[in-house]
Amino acid sequence: MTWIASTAHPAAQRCWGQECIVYDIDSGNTHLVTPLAAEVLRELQNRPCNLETLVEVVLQHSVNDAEPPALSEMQTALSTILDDLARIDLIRWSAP
Amino acid sequence: MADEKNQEVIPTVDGSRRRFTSAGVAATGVVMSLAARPVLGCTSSEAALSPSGWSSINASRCVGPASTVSLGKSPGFWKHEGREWPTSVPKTTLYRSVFPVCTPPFNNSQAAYTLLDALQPQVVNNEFGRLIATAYLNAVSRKTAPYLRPEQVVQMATGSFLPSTGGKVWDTTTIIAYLKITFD
Repeated sequence: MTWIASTAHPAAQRCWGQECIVYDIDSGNTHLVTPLAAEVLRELQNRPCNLETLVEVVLQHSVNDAEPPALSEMQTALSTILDDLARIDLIRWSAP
Repeated sequence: MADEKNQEVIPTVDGSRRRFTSAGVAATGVVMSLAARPVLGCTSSEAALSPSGWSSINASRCVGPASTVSLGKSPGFWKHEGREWPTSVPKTTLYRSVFPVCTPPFNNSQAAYTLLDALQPQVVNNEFGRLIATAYLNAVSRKTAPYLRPEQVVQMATGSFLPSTGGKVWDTTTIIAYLKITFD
């Protein structure tokens, strides 16, 4: 399953520490999201991705000298994030 | 003018890519949403009344009588209605013939009653079934056509309704809360 950003214009975002604000230009809605969700959205605004690709991208950005998230943990978290972002219409499934 | 507006909200990304540790992997992605509000007062819109729009609305949003979109009719209206009752769904239509799969709190014995029976608490005392029957009649008669279609009501009744692609199936509590704002 491949996901893409569903907004006509890229949603604007700004992060402060562990809080990120996403402004959906198309709908006018504003969302408070986690940094990981913001990263996922940025990636999907650049290109369509499936879950496996997103896991790879995010794990590449894991801190080397700290405890990285487990693969299963990241897959579960990203699945939830994809559901959440789809629920607020920022992303959607892409036709194969 | 529109271009100038877009200039102000060009996506802004922090200079360095974020890094994630296990502590940064939260259990949720979206903490809260603030829906854009109409400039003038508390008016609903078709987008806000659609299931996906409604699920994004934050608690502080004013959901009141809509002035810009038509709402459906209440269970009490349909209970007594003769002329506007949709001809494609006779009053003798069995609940189970429209909604073949019953999900709690509506049960199979209650589904053996008609749609008209389901509207009457003295006959079938079940709020979920009453709201589903009401929403279905409103959708079939196109009173809620812009934002709620008959097939969506069927999905709600049979426990398979997804407000948006990739979302989560709505539970009974969510469906009841949503359907209550779709009629006068």
